[in-house]
Amino acid sequence: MEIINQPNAVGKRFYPISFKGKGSEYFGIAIVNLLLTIITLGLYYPWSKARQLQYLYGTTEFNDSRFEFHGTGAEMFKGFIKAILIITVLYGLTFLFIFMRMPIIGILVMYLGLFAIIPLAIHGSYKYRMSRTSWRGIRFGYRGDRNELFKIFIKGVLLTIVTIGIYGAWFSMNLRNYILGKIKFGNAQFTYNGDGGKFFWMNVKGYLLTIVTLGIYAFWWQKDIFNYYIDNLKLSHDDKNIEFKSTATGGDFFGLLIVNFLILIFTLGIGYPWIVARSLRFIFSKIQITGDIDFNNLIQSEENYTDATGDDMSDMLDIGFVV
Amino acid sequence: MDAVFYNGVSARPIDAQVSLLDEKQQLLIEVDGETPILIAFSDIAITHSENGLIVLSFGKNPNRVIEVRDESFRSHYLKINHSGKKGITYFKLLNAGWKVHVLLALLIIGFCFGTYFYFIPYIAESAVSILPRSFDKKVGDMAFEQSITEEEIDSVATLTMNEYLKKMMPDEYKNYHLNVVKSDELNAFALPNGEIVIYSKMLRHIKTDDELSGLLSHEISHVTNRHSMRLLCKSLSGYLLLSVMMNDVNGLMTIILDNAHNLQQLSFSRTYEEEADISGLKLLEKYKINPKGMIDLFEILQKEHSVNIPGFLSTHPVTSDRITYIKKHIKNHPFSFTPHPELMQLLTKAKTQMSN
Repeated sequence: MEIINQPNAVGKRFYPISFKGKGSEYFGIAIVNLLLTIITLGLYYPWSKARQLQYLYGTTEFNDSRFEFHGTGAEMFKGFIKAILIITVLYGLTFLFIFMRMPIIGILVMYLGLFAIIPLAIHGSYKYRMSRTSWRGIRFGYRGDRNELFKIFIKGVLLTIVTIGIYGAWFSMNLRNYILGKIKFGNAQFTYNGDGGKFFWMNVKGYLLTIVTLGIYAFWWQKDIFNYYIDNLKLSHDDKNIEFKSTATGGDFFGLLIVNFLILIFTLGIGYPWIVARSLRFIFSKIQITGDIDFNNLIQSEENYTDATGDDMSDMLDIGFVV
Repeated sequence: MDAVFYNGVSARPIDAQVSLLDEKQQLLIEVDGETPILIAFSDIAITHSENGLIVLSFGKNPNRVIEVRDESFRSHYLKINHSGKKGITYFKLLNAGWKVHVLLALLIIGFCFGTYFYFIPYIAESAVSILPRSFDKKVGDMAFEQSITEEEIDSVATLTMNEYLKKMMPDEYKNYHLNVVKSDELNAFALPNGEIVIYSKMLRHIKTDDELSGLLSHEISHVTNRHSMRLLCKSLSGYLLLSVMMNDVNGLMTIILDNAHNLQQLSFSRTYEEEADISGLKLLEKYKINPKGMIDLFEILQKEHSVNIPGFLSTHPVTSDRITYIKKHIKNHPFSFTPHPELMQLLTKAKTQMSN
């Protein structure tokens, strides 16, 4: 531990990051929350989500301090209700048109509605989640512009359809570059520098080799994607930076995913919390952070944002969180 | 007690002293050269708590954080903090240990299984009552079309048998139609549209009109009790639950129609068989037919079964248990009956027609 945090010859230092949660502890939390969710016919779900996130953040340690999740069940419950209302209105409109014997318009409304909701949900979700995340009391923040994200999304979806999916790689990188580039950690700024072309060819290679090797290469493909996500991430503070690097190998992913699969099968799904814990432990143990930022100089700069509608909407539409 | 304090403005750690004022339910934070902070437990959120570490935070803006790496402080704080009482059941459950958690997990799994295998099928079965009777006919027509082809039907014996049905129960016969099908399988079944199918081998095994009447009354009771429909709903319960919840009767019908061809493969449960037996006996009582015929029939079938003939028995399990309760039912509900020579005549006629 002595070596860590000591500047080396070029003034760079290592910043330790690790997940200290235990599958057994997380299992207890998940089970108790699941029970309460069932007893309350699902109403407890937002509180349950808050508790679980609180545990997962609280057991993730960066540079000797834990992350903090400040979101509350009440906030998420309000968001949950709003999200349900929005989706109900959308369904209502669709059925109204179908009832009025205009089923094509109805279905169109449904698709266009969902199409429009997704970027708004992503936007809201990041705003909420980042604002509720802190480290040493310093909040994260998402400063993206809703309309800007909306434009990227619409353009991406249309071009992806027109190019029969090929543009998907560029779309995915554009989203990542934009969203991650708008994330603040106090007065430090994240940037992501993904390239659609590189990402595209990486996936073509992964796809073809996976077929040729009857699926075995899938683990290495997974590693390539993971490494691409991590390696192009940067955090800057004034003129200082830290860089992220993944040390994961295809073999590591092979071990992780095979064991996860076995746990899931042999525990009939009850082992899910262990899968979450060991996956997070794996991910953080494979991320190497180096640079010259002095985190003691980090200053609070981001506002509180307590509207969880977008976050709950993402949850309902099952949009994965990019970070 | 040593602690690290973050003032919510900068991420720089500040060395602090914390003390718990048990009586006042307050936390005192002292930092060198600054005014001490006194904060009520009820305003503090426990951000994280694990063995040897507790992270507390308070205030919205700035959001201040205090980190204490000491187990005795943590356990003391958790013990004396009364504002956390609201979540007391939650934390009791959380700290109940792995045995309780595993037990809870098993309970939840049991609950899910119970819901999937009992509750949902039960709901689906009850859903039959929202389907109109005309729908039974549709399903039956479809199943009949798919399972019986014209050339298999012995049309001459079929005519005689329908004559039998008409004589046997003049009130009900209009809703049913008998079909004699040439087959080496020992089987008979009724479809929801009132089509009753008797395989020729079954007819050959039947010796008296009372036996045949017993069989027919039983098959007809399956139709009147909508057993096939109930069973179809039950076996398709997964899909059906959704359509019932959305009150989507049309969707429900489509799914059932798609699965109509499975109708013959479904085997009835003991409850259904018992229900059909009892309703059948009531029908026999109405037309003064000797109920012993039903027992005789089952005894014949049971004997055949020991020589291993599938068919009727795989879909209509005959057990000695079943014969016993029919006997018991007859004993408890005795009724008068008369011989029916005209029926016997028709049976004999059909049998001779078949052998030609």
